[in-house]
Amino acid sequence: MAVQEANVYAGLSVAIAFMHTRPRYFAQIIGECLYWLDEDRILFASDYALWQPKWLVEQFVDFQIPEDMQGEYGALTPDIKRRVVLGLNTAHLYDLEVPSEIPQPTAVSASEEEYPEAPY
Amino acid sequence: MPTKAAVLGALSGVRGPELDEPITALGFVSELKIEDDTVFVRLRLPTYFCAPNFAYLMVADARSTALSVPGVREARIVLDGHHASGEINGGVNSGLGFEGTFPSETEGPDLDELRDIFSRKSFIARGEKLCRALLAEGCTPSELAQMRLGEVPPSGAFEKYLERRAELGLDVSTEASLVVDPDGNKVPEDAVVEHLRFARLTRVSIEGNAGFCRGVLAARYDKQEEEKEATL
Repeated sequence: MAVQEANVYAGLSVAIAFMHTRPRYFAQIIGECLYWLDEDRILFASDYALWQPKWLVEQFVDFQIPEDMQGEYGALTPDIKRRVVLGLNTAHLYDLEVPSEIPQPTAVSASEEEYPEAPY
Repeated sequence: MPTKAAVLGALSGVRGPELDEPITALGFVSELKIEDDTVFVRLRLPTYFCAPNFAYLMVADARSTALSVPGVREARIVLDGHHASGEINGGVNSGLGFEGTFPSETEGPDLDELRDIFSRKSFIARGEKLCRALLAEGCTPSELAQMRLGEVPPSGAFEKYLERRAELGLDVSTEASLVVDPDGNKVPEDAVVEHLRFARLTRVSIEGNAGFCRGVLAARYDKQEEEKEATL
């Protein structure tokens, strides 16, 4: 659905905890999101209070897709992390003002037309 | 009298919706009792707010499965600790159907459509697992595209895949093509890579749901059991 509809976003609030318990699996999740949605349609928020979010944010800043999986999924750049974790995507979506000292994201390369299409 | 092993064996054919694992392996069956020809099954879920239609589907499938065991004449299924436990238990055990259980809250056909979606997803994910293993063994995508079921080396993943394939009513004869879509159409050679890419997304999503549900179930019930022990 998210692939076909340009206004559907992936929320990592629940899946992000796999980063701690199963980091290689989390790498697949974030890798799939990046492939199918691009980095501008992935969000993170603390969501329903399942976990205290501070450690999630801190751990995600240090997280990287394992080297042997980067051929398949690529690597996470600081820009992607700022968009996802530090809320630039959310700010853009909700039209919130971003403080000027925060680095602005680089433009997303793919246009909507270039998103991969689900076969069914 | 039917044996516990026979009933548990049958219940292992009921899968957690969108989790693609048996409810027996997920820890969703918390109690099983047999008295004469009546089976009592107690079920539990990771949260009290799990989707009511998913919960209903599982309870209904558990009941029809238990009833299918030779010697079983009655089956009472009880779902514990869910916000709709009362409605679901009453509705399933008196055969009201999902619509009859939640009148005016649902729309469209009964849950068969939902069940079918899960079967299709499961088939896609199992196919991806199998193809992934074949690719790792040196098979090329174009070889996969040409492969027939009779040419696939035996494995656990292949068996599971065939089960799901048969469940959808698709051709499982040795001459049938391996890589087909959920409607049974052969995936053309130039579309195999993209098909598998999308299938992988489906698998990752199902595995994530299962992993998450296991974690939440453990947090909910293991903790309760610890607390119970502590107060004894």
